[in-house]
Amino acid sequence: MPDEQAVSGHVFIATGENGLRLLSKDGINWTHQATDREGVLLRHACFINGRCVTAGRYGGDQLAWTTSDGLTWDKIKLDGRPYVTRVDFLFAESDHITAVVGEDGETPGAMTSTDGKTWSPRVPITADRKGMKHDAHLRRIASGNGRLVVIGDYGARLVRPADARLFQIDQKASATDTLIDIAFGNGVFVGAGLHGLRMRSEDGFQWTDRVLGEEGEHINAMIFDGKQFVGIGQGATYISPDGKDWTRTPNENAPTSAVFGGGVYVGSLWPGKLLKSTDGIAWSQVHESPHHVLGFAYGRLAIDAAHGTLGTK
Amino acid sequence: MSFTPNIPFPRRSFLRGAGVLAALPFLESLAPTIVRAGSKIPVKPPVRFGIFTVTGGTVKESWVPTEVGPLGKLPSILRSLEPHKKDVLVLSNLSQSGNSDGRVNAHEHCAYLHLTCADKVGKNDGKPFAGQSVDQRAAEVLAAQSLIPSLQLGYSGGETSYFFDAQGRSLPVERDPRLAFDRMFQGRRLVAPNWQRRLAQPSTVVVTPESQTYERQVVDLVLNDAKDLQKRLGRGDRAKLDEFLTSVDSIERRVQRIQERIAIEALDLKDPGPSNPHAPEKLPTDRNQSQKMTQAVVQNPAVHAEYLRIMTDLMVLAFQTDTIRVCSLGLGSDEALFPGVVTVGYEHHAHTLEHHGNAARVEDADPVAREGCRQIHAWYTTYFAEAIAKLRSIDEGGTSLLDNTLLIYSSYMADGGHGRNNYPVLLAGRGGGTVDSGRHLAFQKDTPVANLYVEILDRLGDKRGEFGNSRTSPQAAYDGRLPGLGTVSVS
Repeated sequence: MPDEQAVSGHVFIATGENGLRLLSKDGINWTHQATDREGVLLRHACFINGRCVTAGRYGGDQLAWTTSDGLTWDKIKLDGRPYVTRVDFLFAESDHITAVVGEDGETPGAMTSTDGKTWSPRVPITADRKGMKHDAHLRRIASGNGRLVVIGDYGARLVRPADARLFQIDQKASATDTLIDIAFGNGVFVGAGLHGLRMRSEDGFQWTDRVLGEEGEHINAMIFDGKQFVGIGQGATYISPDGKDWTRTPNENAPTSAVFGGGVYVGSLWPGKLLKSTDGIAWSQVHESPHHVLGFAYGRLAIDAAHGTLGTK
Repeated sequence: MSFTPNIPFPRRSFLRGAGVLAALPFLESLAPTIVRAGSKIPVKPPVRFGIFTVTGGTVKESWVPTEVGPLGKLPSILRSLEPHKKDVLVLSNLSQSGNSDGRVNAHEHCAYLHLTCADKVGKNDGKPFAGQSVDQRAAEVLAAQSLIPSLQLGYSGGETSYFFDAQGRSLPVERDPRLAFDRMFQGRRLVAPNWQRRLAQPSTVVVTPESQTYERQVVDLVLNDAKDLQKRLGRGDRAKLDEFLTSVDSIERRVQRIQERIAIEALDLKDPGPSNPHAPEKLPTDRNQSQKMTQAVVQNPAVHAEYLRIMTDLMVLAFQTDTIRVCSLGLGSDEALFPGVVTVGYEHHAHTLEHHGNAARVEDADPVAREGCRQIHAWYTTYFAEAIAKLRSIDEGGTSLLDNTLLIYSSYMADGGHGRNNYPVLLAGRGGGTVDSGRHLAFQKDTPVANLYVEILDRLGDKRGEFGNSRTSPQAAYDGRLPGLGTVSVS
């Protein structure tokens, strides 16, 4: 995939420090490297309507940069209070993308967009103003069983039926069971956390089958690959079809963040190492970028030949 | 016997390297134990005192062993010390109780108390004040035996000022490894003292007129002129001149001692000790490179790691060559980023992790941030473990440099919540056979940290028996001492 050519179809994107963006069709060959000013941190990425949207910050500003071809990027500054508002994560839903934004002590909010360039005003995502610790960030989301489940700091868990507007905060969640990542598959949500923590839930509120692993074997990524859950930890990879019965296999050189797409696992290790694996256990370095990778996504770019920008789903 | 040193390096460079802080060189008559040449008894080189202290936010449940007595499996932050268990003494329940004047923030409060154990710390006209820090008291005690009385290296300073002189004024810390190296070794060859020879032979070094340095000759000229002038002055001016002469006399003595040191090192060069000192492997070659490294420390853990190694190597080298007997490393930074070290969660900024990872109750803290703090401190410990291994590997003639060192490993805050109770602290080395290592000693709750410093100072020859608030703390205990550390040497 030559760097000067537009990209279409399914790709991985890696984003990171100094505005780093890299694309790969196969998780092995990374191209279209783009960078920006020192201090631009692109932490999040997501695909919607044939576009890739990344989000992050520069100084006190919150940014959303978007492309449909991997070559040209539209760079938007999101509304928010400088140095206070932050984008916690992005997720795609139906025909739009949502940026969940937070401010310490404030109710988390959401801004939506269909193209990453025009964003709706911020609205609260929960009516429970006191349900979260004042400095807790929300981190990850999974969708399934007709609902969305969000996890965050201090054990925060929020659940929203797909057709509802507001999330409900699970007040029972314990900080000691903080989940670092969450995935949905085979009818269950599976979350993972410190020291090999794994739990499962069908509705996001009731969590069962809690197990721990070895000290220090933190599971940083929980992925559902279409058949099974793969928890990628520092020292071991845990695999289960249902979130109940797990197989632990020691791993080496495991990444601290990972994504799955097109049959390949892709991950990153500081500083700027891009890794790939076919099973989530054995990892090999395939690329070293000049800056560290902070976020990943796998999705589809589509160029509308008539307009040259926004593609169709 | 007289000796005219065949000096293979310029004396003036040596003097410049030693700098104005140079004091008495090693004097044979002050050596703690004299073993005659040919004796099979290992020589007993002098005890060195080191401090390796890191920034805050440690996690006590992963630092303090659960069992008291002989060290078993070490908690995870100390895990990298497993191969060195027999050389470390873990101490718990040591606390600070000093107050602040309300003009310092919580980090400053902890930092100023850290090595001073003062009853009160604060700021006067924006400048920090505290009591004398333990390294400076030790330096005072050993000044007569050190080429450079003490050196403070590392990243501390500002909010994390730990080092204070006898007047309680904050002392600067050398961040630049190249400058630190040049200050100690410019114009000198790296040579290990031959303690066998130094301790076996009474002082035989005589500085002859021929071997006098240019600086010495200048001092003589100044003194002669001043003495002539003195006869012609009135009483007031004479007093002023006396003050001046006192300071010149101090310089004179210093120059004299440096000359003696040059002569002793010339003997060492001919017949060196068993170890082979060398500059740190990755020491920056020039100031420019050194400054670049220093600036990148807080941004890049790979550079940070290299920096820790170099600064630790400099301390080891300073001890190995008997350049300094008191060396302090104020390492780490609350503002440092730790991507790749912290492998969990999303936050890598030490200060943020410290605050999120601590709370009035541990169960209220963010466990992911707390784990990040634990990983950072386990990481620091790996470099401390390397320091121990290096000290252990240096043979001083039957004993290792570690055997002859007291090295504190600690942090300026007891935890990331600005805690001052139950500090993480351990003592590595045997202090010349005065410390029984390989154990965990738990003292009465909130025993003053000052008591530990009294014990260390005592082993360095300071018999005053008190330091900081060892006797004035509301938690004063054990008559200002720490029982059970090991047998104190008779000085």
